[in-house]
Amino acid sequence: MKDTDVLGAVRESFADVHLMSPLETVIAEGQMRRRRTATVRLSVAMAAVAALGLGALALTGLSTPAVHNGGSGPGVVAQPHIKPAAYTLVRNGDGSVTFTANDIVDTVAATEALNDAGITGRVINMGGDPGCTMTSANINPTDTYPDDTNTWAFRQGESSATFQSSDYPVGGGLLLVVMQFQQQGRERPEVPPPSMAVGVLAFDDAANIPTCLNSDIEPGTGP
Amino acid sequence: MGALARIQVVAQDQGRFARFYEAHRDACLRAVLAVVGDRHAAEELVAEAFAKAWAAWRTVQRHPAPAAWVVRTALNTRVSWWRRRRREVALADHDIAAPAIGGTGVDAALMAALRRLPARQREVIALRVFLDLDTETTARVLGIASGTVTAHLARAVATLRGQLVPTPHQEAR
Repeated sequence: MKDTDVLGAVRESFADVHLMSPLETVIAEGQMRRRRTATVRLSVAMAAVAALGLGALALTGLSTPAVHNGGSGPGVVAQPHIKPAAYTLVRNGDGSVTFTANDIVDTVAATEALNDAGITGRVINMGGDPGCTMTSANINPTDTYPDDTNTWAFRQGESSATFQSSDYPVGGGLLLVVMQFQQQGRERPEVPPPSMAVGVLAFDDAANIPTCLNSDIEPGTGP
Repeated sequence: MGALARIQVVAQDQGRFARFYEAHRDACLRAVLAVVGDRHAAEELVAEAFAKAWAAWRTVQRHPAPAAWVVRTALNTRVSWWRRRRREVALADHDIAAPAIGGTGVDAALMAALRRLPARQREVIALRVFLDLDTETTARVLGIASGTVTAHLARAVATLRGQLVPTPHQEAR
């Protein structure tokens, strides 16, 4: 028996299987999902604002390396904020990939590493481009997979995310957003480094993955 | 865009979606059923996936393989159910109970043979047989290499041939 005969037998065995759900029911459910995701979009934006303000946390400046001068003494060059290889990317035995951020990342290198690991998508730093007008509230829920943006969350201290290629449909991809939290007002050198968080959001179409993202609120304006 | 023009666009979209649904509903159900082995669950998953497809029709209709999108979405939804269930219910020996084989509308022996295949082999069979996807597209849908698809298919076919159809060697005994 040829391979095609075996596959043909499988096909024929399912010939009596039909989906009975009426089109009208499917469309009605789809419409309901659209309305729900529109509502979710608003609530996610509000939740993001609340989360970012929790515990008097504020975003640190991420865009440019800071240079401080002590005034009377010699100039002191602060550690640059952007360091290459500030992340680890591990391919797990089950095919998943774990991305851990230790600092804000070199997004080009991190994206290349992500893609090399078989994951379509992009790594960006939250607030990495001050001129960026895209915020999480601007992301169209119908572009994401599933179609609601409440599937992602930033949690302080959760600097790792594990995902796999089956987390997005064919043609889609993942957006990995690295975010840095720092306690407001703490700028002395003995203060521990700021904690990191990694957010992951899947998109139906890789072409719709944002190239940059800014927070919905101005740094330091949380409650 | 004016209200009338917007209504016309929605009507056109709905017409395209209706044709897509009619053309692929059965194939998608068969593909998902072949993987999950549970008729009731498969119908719910596929109907939900089609609803998601309509909710995101602007994106899905541009997809190179929209039916594969539906199947992948249905199977991913199943993974979500499974993860949710795993969090809610602590099972001693198995993460999830094996689905009932009876009542699928498919020959029980064939369904049992499919259930014995590894999950990835079932997915390859489902996409190749019921959606008529070529090796490259199947590989993209599953996020694996084309050679891996070919290998999975060959192993699956060999297993099914051995289990379901008496081979000449067996007949000679």
